[in-house]
Amino acid sequence: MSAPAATGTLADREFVQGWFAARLDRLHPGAESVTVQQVERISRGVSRQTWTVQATVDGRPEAFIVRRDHEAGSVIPTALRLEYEVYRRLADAPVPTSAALWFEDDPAWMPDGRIAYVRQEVAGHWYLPFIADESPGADEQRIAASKEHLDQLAALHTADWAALGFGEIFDVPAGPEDCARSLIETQLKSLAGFQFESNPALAEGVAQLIERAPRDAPRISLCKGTNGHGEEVWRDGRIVAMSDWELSYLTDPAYDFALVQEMIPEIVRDGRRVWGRPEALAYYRERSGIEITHERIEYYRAVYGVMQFLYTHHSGHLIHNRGFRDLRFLWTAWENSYRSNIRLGQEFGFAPEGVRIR
Amino acid sequence: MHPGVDEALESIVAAVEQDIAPHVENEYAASMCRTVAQMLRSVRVRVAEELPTLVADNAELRELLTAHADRLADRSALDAAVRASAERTAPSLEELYADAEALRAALTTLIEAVPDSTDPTRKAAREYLRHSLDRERPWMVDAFTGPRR
Repeated sequence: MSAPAATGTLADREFVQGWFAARLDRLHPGAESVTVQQVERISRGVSRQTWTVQATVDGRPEAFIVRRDHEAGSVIPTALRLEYEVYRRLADAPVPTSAALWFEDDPAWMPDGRIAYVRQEVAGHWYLPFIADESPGADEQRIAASKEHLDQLAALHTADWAALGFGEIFDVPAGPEDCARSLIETQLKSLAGFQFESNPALAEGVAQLIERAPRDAPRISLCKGTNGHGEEVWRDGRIVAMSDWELSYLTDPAYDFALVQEMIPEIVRDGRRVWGRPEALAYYRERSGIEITHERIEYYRAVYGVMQFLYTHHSGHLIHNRGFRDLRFLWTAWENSYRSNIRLGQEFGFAPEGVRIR
Repeated sequence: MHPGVDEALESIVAAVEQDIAPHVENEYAASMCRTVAQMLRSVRVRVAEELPTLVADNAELRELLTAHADRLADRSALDAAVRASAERTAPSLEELYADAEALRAALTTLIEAVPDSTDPTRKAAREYLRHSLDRERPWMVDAFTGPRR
């Protein structure tokens, strides 16, 4: 099929119909027809734009995700192409993910003239209604979900990242003992590309992180970054797709435990511990053979403060240096930048009284 | 003189929240209405308080940097930043921004020059950072009244 003379917009179903028809072989090898029914932007998530495309392929209903930067760029300081390359390499990983289908950089088909990539949408939901239920009746379900999540982390952390090709796209620490320092250096290298004003709060944080960098990581693992509730796709009590790999790195697996969201609930009944971090780490150790210490988890929680600073500062860079005018970017560079400084203050001993963020 | 910035921004927030947002059906547009209103509340406080806040912040930085300047092998940039800021009599907001950038850059250099986090210079730096964050609290924390998106 020949491409149109000018690109269309992602909000135009007719354009997406033509685009997907032109990429039919990427949707499914051998597919003969596609009909796009609905294209809609999802408001959840601000780092990049996520759109869903409801379609039928050879008469079967299917859903796809289109990811692209905002018109102003991305909140996070990594390229969209890298996100696509991560998904592409995850196709052979021992954890469930959605299949990356193609990266669109043909000017004739780039929606709104911007690069984008398409992946399959996996049916399920990010929301677990029972996860915050602290009544005893929810214990079994919460622990089962926690174990399911830990199983996936164990599979990910023991995966052969070199064979999957992640050494080609990520910085590789010199050895397990170098994981922490390498992760900090990766952040600073990225920041050097867009930093527009000095931040002594960041300098204080980085100085302390370098001073106390742990050297006892047992291995280098492919780590997901933000993970847990809100970051994975669930169906019938199982994770059917691990989603959101924006902060993925090759580093100490303790890093993922620092960023886990709500999936390790503390449950105590009648004075007896039923579940929590120690139990979860023991369960994970059985599955993976990897020892995770509380000290390393806390260390990487502090590192996350630096990462948060990076993406708020990157938003500021796009507004201040590039002249982009986007309200969500402004808000990120404004309030969230302050919050990232407070987080640095909490981690490194200079938070003002009475201001706390989780 | 009046209506001033306060009255203008309050009226705009009221229009967004009472006259526009209730009629917005698109989820993303409704979310943007929340961001608009909350950001305007923050801007209103910042406009009123930023100038005296920066004057105080820069003054504390000058004092800190002067007291610890001898920790640097080359203190020329630090001294220049302190001198330029101290010489101003009625600085504009833009001049205060420029001074703050130079003074904060000097503090960053000082922190990086003293690797021991228990050193008095580093402790003093953290005390300044605590005060600085507290100064921004009125528009970065207190001004917000609800969901931002």
